Amino acid sequence: MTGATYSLLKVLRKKADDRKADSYSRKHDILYKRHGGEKALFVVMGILFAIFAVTFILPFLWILMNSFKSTKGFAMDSLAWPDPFQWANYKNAFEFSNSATGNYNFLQMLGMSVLVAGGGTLATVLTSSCAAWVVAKYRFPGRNLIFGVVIFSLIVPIVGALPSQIQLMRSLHLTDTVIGCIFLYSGGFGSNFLLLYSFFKNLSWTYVEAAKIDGASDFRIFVQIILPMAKGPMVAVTILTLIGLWNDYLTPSIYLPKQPTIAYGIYLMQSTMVETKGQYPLFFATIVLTMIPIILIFVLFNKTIMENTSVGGLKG
Amino acid sequence: MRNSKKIKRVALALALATFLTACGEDNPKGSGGSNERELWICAYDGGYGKEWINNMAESFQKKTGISVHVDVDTTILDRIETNLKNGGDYDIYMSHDINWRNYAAQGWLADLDDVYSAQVEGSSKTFEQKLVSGAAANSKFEVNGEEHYYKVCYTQGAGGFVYNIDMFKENNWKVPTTYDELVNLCKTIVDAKLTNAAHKKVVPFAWSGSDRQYYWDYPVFEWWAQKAGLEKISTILEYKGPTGQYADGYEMYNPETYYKEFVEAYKMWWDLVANTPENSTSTARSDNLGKAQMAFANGEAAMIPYAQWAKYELESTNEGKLDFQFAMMKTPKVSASSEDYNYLVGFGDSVVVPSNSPNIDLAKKFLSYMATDQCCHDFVRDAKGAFLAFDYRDIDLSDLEQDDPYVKSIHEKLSENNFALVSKNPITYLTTNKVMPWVNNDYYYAKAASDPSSNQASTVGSKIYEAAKSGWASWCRSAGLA
Amino acid sequence: MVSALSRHSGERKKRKANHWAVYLFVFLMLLYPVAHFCLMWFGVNINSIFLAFKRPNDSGVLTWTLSLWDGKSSWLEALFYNFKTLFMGFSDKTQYPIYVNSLMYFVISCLITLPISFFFSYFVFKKVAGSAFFKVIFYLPSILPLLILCMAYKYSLSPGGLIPGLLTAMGIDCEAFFADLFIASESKRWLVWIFCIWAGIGYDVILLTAGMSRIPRDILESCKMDGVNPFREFFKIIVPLTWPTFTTLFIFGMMSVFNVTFQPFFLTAVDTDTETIGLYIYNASRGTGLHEPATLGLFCSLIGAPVILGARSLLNRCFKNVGF
Repeated sequence: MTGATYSLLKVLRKKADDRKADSYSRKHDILYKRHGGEKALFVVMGILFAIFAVTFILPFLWILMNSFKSTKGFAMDSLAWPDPFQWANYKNAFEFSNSATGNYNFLQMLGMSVLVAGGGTLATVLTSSCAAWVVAKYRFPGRNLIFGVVIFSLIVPIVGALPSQIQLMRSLHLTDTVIGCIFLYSGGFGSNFLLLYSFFKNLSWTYVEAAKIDGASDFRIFVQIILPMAKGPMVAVTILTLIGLWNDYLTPSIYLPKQPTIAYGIYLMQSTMVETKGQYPLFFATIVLTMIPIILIFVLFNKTIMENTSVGGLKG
Repeated sequence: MRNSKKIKRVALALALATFLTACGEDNPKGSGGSNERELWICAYDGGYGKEWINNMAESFQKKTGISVHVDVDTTILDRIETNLKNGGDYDIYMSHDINWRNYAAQGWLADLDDVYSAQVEGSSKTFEQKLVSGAAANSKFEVNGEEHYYKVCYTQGAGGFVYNIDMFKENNWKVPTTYDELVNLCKTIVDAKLTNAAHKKVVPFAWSGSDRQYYWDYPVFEWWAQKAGLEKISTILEYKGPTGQYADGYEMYNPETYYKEFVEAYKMWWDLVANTPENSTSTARSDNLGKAQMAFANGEAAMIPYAQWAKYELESTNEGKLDFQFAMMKTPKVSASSEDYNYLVGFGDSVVVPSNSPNIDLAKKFLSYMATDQCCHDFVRDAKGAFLAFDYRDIDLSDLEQDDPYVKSIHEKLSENNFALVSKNPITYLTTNKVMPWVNNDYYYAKAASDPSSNQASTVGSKIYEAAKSGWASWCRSAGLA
Repeated sequence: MVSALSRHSGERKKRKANHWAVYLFVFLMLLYPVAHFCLMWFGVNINSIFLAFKRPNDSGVLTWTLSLWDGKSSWLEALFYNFKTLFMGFSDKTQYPIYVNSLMYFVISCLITLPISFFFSYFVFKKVAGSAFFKVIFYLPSILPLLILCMAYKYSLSPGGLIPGLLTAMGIDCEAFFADLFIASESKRWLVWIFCIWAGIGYDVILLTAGMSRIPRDILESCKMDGVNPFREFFKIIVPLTWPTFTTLFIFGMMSVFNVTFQPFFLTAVDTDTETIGLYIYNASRGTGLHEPATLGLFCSLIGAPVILGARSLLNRCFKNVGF
């Protein structure tokens, strides 16, 4: 993810072109008029895409349908229509908790996700924007060094830092705490730094100068003028980071096993519901519940997400 | 636009609400009164259920006034190591697969010597004397030149074929006592072409290849013991080479010499199950446990390989009760003249006390309490036929056995010659899962049922040997035996 | 205040901060990010190297390998103790499959998923009927938790699941096929590989179409006017002009050799047939022996970094003149 950001950096300058991209979608555009063989090719590809889309949609519809069955009903025939509808699965999914999940139920795990992913996102966006603004616009000794080292760290692939990280976190007594997770996420020199850096770089200095004349301090300028101007990229970075951290399994599974977030909690629930007890429908109901907030975010912010993944990319 | 703002506001409110609920629940242990000490127990949430531990905790609390908090958990093994090292909530852990020798070496486990030497209440015997034979020896470990007890064996187990008594009676099938009789019985069942209530063909075995294929180990290990004798097996378990050196310990897996009988026992299984697909339900090799249980409960299969927790699990999956009576047969012997052996399933399971627990004294009291006759009796009742690792000879179980052939059958099977496959070689506990009867914990049962010809006994035997040989030097090194 | 900032000559608008207040501002703004970076990047990586030269002593405490030198072997061997253990593992039949499994992900990511995605992206970019809808589908794998995606895939293919059920309903007897699917070593691997392609295409398509959308419109228009056929257009215009995105995704694909962790874990649990370097490191890191995964990580970085950086500069050279 980080590397992509860097090589796509230069492209950011062409923001204006992005706006032009909208014009691509105009109907009856010469670009999308197709004839003969080309038309046939596009029809074939359309069908291929439709099949590909079905392979994504069908399993989830199947999960939705089976989430209303009894365990026995599911085992008898997973394609039959649920009869009767077992709404109790959803009630049970909401109430399910055992010591595997640290006695947290679904809502509490959701709360942990809000806390950890939300806190982590706020922290990293804040530190990234501070660092990006200063590195982009101020000259001070060590500036080039910082920039160089950051780029280096983003390009060079490092494998297996986890054992060392665990050891370090243990010695800092940051394991098994929410603060520890947020601390891990709170880095200011990740890919978000590069995105905001390139945005700030292109921002005109005249705003700052005008404010300086009015006697505003650097800090005030940053908070009251620059951040509001950077609202667009900041929102985009926030949403994309939030999705990435919300779905993060690795960090909570290692550093917060007893207070699981939903991304890790769903694994813990699966281990009891399916592996030990074979209650597939109950687990399916849990899957459906877990997907609701994510889909909600996607629906609300789909424009922001879609327009900005080109720049940042999602966590894969 | 205004609408979407509203939605965002609602979403924010919801998020805030969940956030607050999450904050509301804090770890109850920390917030408890500081004077009141509470014993915290974590037991693996497996086939023994939680009634037994809840009941035992309650009676212990009544008797001693010490309050007990119990959690049952399926994922304690993921966390036990961190908890032991950094201090977790619990004062007692009970589970299978606790790598206790490794933990003891790190100094994470409390020394339990005084539990072992103390007299058990209501008995003239000490804790050590009350244990079933072999249990005490399996619980000692030497750290820095001193040997101490660091664990208590959890249960003594029996595994093998659980069968449908009613079906056997209706069809006049005799419970087989030898392997040949078992083979014939399977043929009889297949030839009878019976169907169950759902019109499915009745077959001899239901089993789960996807998550419980190792249940086949239970009969196979007993056949192995009968063929090889316990002495040879205990030599093998030292995993020292023919010359007594760790360096060529892999020779213990040589299918021509030391491991010959193991491979032969596997072949008996292969003939019975892998190479005779009609003996199993059609998808047994990939079925999960729930499906295998259902096939047995529906009368689609006459037998199911299982261990002592069969009754608890079968009944709990099947909403509390099966429509027929069932029991565990003594594993049919290799030949009529073979000696009866009972493989102690789960004898490696452990009860341990963390050395950093502030309540070691309370934990020890509880362990001692577990050894009383009443607890032993109640465990069998609550865990539906599983037995703690204590000697049950003096304990009267007649009230439980009266109308439960299952408990009776387990009790009878446990009275045979018991043996376990617990090795004291450091490789076995320092390189997790590498050195076991099946090297690297790679089982062949499901693979063989899916593709019998590529998983014949001779092939499997040499695969195990080759794998052990190729990795032996590095395992020795990882275990500090270089 | 204004005088404190002298305007820097030239086009680049950098401020020369020469006033204490400005320095203080810069210092405070950078304090946390730099401290965090030093600790979590330098600190962690240096400690990683240290770990590779430590091993537990008799009482289980991690100690420098050299201090455990018994004097019998050479001191070099004592120093590189962990590396020797690692190399010995290469011939261990229960261990070496993880290296082969991991290397396969180069093929999966770079040679299969990426070309397919490139091809797909062209049609999404060219607004094949329903492309807006397909775009949402391509987003799904990126916004859903991996576990949910894995479980949807796994349960759909398990006996009694969606696909076997549909095929049976169509009168195809496939029970045995699906029963064997999760058992045989080969088919387990294929299951994970196919999952990675299925779920990986979306991510690549999103980034590639974004790259394509930046191609200047006049180029595409003149193609259209000249009647250039789609294949020619694809290879002569689209590929060179989206090369930077392609390069990036290719590098990602190379890194997946070390990164693929949870796909095999969720689909097949820990299993020699599908285990990868990433999964081994994840699992081993949760145990006590941190030195062994750290050694493997260091070794992989030493091999992987030059290869990946080399590949990057090679790929960058391919269409060097394309800058728009």
